[in-house]
Amino acid sequence: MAEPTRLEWAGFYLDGRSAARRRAVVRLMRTGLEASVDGGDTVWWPYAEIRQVQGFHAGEPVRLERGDGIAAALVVPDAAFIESLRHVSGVTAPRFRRAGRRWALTVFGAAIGAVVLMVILYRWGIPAAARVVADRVPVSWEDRLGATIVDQFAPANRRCTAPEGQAALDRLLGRIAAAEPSPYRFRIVVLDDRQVNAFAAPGGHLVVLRGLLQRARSPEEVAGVLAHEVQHVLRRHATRAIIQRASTGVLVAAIFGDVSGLFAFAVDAAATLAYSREHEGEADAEGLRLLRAARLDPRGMIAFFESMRKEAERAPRAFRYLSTHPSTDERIAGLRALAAGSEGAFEPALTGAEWNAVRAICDRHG
Amino acid sequence: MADTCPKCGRPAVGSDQCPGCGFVISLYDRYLAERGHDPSRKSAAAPAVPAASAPIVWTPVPRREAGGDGSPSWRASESRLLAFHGAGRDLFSIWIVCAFLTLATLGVYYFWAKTRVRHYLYGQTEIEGDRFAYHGTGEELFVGFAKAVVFFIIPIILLSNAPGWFGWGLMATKLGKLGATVLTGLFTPLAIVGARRYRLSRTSWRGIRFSFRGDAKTFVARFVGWSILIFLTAGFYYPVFLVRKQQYLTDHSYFGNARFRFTGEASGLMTAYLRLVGAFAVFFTAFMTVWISALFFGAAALLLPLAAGALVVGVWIKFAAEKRCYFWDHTELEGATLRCSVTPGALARLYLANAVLLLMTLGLATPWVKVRNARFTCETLALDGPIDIDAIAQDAQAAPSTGEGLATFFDTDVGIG
Repeated sequence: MAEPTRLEWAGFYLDGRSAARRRAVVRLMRTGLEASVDGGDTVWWPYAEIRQVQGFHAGEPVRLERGDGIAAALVVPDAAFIESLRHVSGVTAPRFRRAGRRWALTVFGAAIGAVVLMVILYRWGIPAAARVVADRVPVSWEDRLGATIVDQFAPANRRCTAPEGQAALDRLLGRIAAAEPSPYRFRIVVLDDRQVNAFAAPGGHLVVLRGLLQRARSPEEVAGVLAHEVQHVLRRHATRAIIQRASTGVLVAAIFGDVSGLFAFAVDAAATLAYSREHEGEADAEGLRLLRAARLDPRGMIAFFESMRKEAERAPRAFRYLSTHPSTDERIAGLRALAAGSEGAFEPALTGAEWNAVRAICDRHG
Repeated sequence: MADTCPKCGRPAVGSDQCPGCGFVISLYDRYLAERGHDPSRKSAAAPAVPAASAPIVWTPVPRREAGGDGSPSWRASESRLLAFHGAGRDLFSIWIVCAFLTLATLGVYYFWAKTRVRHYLYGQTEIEGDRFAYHGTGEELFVGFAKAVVFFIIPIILLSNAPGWFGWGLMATKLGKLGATVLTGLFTPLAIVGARRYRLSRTSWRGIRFSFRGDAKTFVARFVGWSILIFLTAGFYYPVFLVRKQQYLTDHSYFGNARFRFTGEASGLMTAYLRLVGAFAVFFTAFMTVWISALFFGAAALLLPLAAGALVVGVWIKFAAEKRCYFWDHTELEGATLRCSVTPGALARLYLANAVLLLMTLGLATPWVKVRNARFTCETLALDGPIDIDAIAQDAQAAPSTGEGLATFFDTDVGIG
């Protein structure tokens, strides 16, 4: 030991009864310590009854307590005291611990471990758990959640509701949904918005934007999009994504604390992309299967994605990267392979009159 | 004149006032004389020296020529400064291990992690030469959380969903929804009161516990009333609500048997709040008119909402600084008053630097940000005025951890940091 053991130390005694701090001389004995407190009192603390509560960090005075509940305390500002206390009492860690930084190795190991665990949880743990949970969520909950989301995203005054168009879409959706038995009741809402997009909320609530209906060149293309979205519902992708995002948010908040709103947001955005890409492929393949089961021409779906790809190529690179529906060549090639050898036995998605009604669903009548 | 300062022990003090700590010795002597003490500083008898073996050396503690203890309880005019001694790298070594364990236990360790971080932060905070201490435990937080789940979260989920699951009919559904709404409404005030009760009861300074003795029922009733008033006044009651809430929380807080007092006025924050509302109005007006002005000024018109946005952020920070100082400057303890020196500029610099730190390190700088915040709080806070600290006696109160468990569900105090 570099520093010799000292037996007498200057400190303060806090009796736990008043806020007065009394100077004390602490003497280390064989089985306990004795403190001569200013004002005449002398207290005897056996080592076995003492616990160290502060003094684990550089510059922090050593604080010893004795007694249950509200304890009396001895504070010795000189950190070297703990070394003498350990030596004389023969009691060492974990009860009497030296101040000092944690071993660099521990900290480094914990940092690496934390990052690895975070990646594992984020990449596999949370998605797997979300899948298990989502599969057990009652359809009625999904239905209610989906209705809330749709009401927010597509408020009643922004919906297109021309009855003929709505009837045609309902019939097409019904035909696709009937191809696979499920507990869901599918509904479709057209939002008056020029963007080319569609999405599925949990519980069977589909939202199609006006721009998509105008961009589609045939009812089969619309059918392809609907089948894709129906599969998102059947595979509970949206429910899973919501659970995943919420769990990730809780985890991030637990570790980074309330200062992390920004990060929760960033992680949230990243999560939306990562989960979607995985699920898009599944929705594509299963959607295509659904189209064939409903005797609808799957080439419409492929044609629509191709036109979306051309659109994407014209967009600036940054936007292309951020797209949640990556219409990559691979995706289209995959669909082509799936669709191969299925020519012939299809029935038209909609009649000409119905298709016209769908395209005019947002026109104001009278 | 005395040759040793009775407060800081500085030797060879030539004048009446100690050049080291500014302590006025004659005032102290007069105080002692008034209380019937002998002002002549006497030395304590040297203690008996126990026999020591070879490696043990005997270094007697130097006796100071002081009449009482090192910190006399009375001074004519004084200011006690808070100090925060923590270091980011120390907290990081705690935080990263906690983060690892929290992840490895799928969140169960969270409560113990939070406790460890609090122990550190409290132990690094000092006033008048003594550190604060935190006495909470991870078990308590865990039990509090479990109770909050059992008594609030599960009932809320059941009330709002069970009638639907079991098909109990419209009446039951409506009653269930009503019950869930009532429980959710009680949640916030109960969490505020409960968390304060728990945290103060687990905080001590010089061995004396803090406590909160407000009545949960009273606070919940008032909170509901305030919420209704905020709604009826379209939000203009909000600054009054902030003050009234603070008043209730402060007035029922104690340090030992010494009670805190809040001396603010109900309308104290109104001006600051109206300024904030005004800034928002300007922002929205700018946003609405930007399309029209674009016709005349082109793209330059975009600067308008940008400037208005900057105005909102500036005024919001000013409001945050004013609120903080209003609460502190109107908090009294036994004749002493907290004094706040937060300026909007300093607060803005703190927020900006913290945001940059967090963004640059993807959140790894969280412990440094915590330390910066704690240091800022301590450096801008002082306790002014004469206060007889030694006369304050222990008067600790029991406090369950359920409220703290409820508070876990709010973003106000989430995170192991």
